[in-house]
Amino acid sequence: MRKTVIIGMALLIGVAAWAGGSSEPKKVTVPDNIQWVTADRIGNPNASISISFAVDNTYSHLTQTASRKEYLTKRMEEWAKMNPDVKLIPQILAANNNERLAKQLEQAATGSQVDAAMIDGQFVPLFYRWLQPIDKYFTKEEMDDWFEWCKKEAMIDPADGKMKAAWFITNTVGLWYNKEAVPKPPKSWDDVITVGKDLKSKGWQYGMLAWGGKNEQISYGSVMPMFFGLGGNLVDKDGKPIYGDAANKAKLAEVFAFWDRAVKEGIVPQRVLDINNNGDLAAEAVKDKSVAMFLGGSWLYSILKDNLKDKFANWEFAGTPQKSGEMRMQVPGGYCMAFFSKDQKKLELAVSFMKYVFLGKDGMAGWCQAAGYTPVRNSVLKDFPFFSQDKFQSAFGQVIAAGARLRPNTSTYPIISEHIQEGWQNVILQKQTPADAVDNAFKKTLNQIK
Amino acid sequence: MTRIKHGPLYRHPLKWLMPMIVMLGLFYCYPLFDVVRFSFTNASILKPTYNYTFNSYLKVFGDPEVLGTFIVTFIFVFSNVIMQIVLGMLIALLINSGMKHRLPFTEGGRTIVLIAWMIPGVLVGLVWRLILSGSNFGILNYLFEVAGLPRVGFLSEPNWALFSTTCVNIWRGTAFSMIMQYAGLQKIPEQLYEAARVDGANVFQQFWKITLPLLRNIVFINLVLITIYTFNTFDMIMALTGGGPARSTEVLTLSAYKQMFKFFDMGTGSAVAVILLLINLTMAVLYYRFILRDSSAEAQ
Repeated sequence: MRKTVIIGMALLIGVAAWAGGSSEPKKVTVPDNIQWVTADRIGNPNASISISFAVDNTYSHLTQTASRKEYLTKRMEEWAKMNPDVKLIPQILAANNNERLAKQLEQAATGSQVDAAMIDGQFVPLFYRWLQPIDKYFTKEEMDDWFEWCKKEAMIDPADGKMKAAWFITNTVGLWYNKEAVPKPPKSWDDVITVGKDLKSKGWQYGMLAWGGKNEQISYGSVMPMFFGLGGNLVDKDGKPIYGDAANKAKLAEVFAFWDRAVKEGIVPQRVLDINNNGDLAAEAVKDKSVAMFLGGSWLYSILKDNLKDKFANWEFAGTPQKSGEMRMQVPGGYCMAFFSKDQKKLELAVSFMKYVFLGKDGMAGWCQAAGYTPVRNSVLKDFPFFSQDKFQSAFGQVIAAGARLRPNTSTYPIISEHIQEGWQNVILQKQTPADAVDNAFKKTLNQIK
Repeated sequence: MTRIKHGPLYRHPLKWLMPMIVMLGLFYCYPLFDVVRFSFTNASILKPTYNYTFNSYLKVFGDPEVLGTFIVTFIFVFSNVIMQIVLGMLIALLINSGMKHRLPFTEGGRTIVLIAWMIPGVLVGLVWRLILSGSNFGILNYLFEVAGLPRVGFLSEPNWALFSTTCVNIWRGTAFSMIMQYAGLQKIPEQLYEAARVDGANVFQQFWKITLPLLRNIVFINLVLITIYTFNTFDMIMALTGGGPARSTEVLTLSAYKQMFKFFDMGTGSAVAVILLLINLTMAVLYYRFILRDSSAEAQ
């Protein structure tokens, strides 16, 4: 018995001495010749800290677009080498925006979210209760650098004034046009019809194209900019849909009437209803004498550049045509990076990684330049000549600066958008008149929210 | 005579069945019960709490376009059922005849038909999108253009979109119908056909008087299963048209998906799912009445 006690005490003292006495941190072993960035891991496979993050495929190193892939792989590898005790596990978000949002909300509610995730800027407020404050990782200077509307719409939680997300790109849908065929971009709806007819008479297959397959982009690109340009409102201050009320209905019906006229005049084909990915629009732009102007996102920059090659120099970007040429209105969108991890060490590292790749001054400049997005920090626009000298970046920024209004960040918005998309499609199909399309959409919305 | 003594497990088989009961209860019954329960609530992914209400069903039937959704669903389902049964039967008869006469490539032909069934629905939708697309990479429209024919909006015109979606699903599902009926054909004794030929029956008479009556049970099982599978089709349609253009290919499953994942309305989405369940249960009851009841009447 006495022998047992003595041995036990000796062991205890030995272990305590080893634990307390070892002042040197455990050495991180990095295997030789490792691939720092793979499909399912970024960083040292032997790292003790593992951080998960979720991004869209086109924002990941798995994207097929060369310029994006090159930037992301390089930047992620650099950060990983500077932090050998961290490995990052990427997850790819669902391509469909609504499905993605639903899954992210479900994961957040059940506590199974990743440590950091990209969230549509419009819907960040829906996640506030689960997001971790990240103020301490940004200086006051950095905070002041962000566009005001980014902070107001998403970054700052009004409930506690804390920074809960970081907006890192913005984009908008506008008019891509081939200046060889369209020397001056149409600014008004009448101009669109005139230019479209001229193009058709010169043998172009289409007068104008737009994304017409069932997708938020119908609302975001083909309807809302024009509706907001007329001063229309989708919801009241409480988030209740009002787009079918007298004044707003007339404005939305005017927008639908423009599209109705464009179809009747042969400018916009019904075939647009089959366009539901970026590749469709790019493919038409690439084909000779197919289309010389189309409504498309500023995010088409990299895909058009990669596919049009030398011909890309003939293309320009302008604001969305409005009822009158003097009106200017865009709907900016974009994404925020938000953080869920309650582990402070992981949170700090996740923020550091995202700052390096997307959020910091250099990160945001590099990513926006590679991907063709517009940055949302003033210092990036000022200090990186690319954004003032590159004709597209300059155009993207100018059209947003000329007039911009965000979509309402209410929970009723997805319902409103879905029904407006259906109404727009019915107008393109000539199944409903513009006024009936608005009435029908509003009726469906009211039924859904009751 | 020695009586065999049975242990406690023999006397109480419930203990043997317990693992299966637990599995079924946890992974089948409970989720089913939960969906039915949610259909009587206003549960939403956006809200942590909910109340019990009939409002979800009122929303489903209050949608101005719900009738259109039901019509599209029934057109899609019954076109598929009829064509898959008929085409499945034709291909099964061809392959059966080919095998009997030891024609070359018959087995290969059967395998090729089966490949369509093996491809996941999403891939089927994506591949056919490439073929039917009205864009410049749309294969079928490209061939039309080369042949000097006008382009067709297979996926952008409502009637064509429903027709295309139906055809793609028929292409995908015929293999299952074929294999079921082919299996049934193997069970028909060759002597019956020989006797019929001796009696002077032609091919059509042999089919009508021998093949069809003896395949009746298989055909009815096929009918019910294809109906259930087709009512539940979601992946292929989602990838091919997404329910568009303008809801012209929106079947009930897509409607349920839209409620859950676009509107975050779990209550209404569950209500649509329950309506689908009731339709499928009706099919199962029909199966019971037409197959098991008739079979037991014949046995008596």
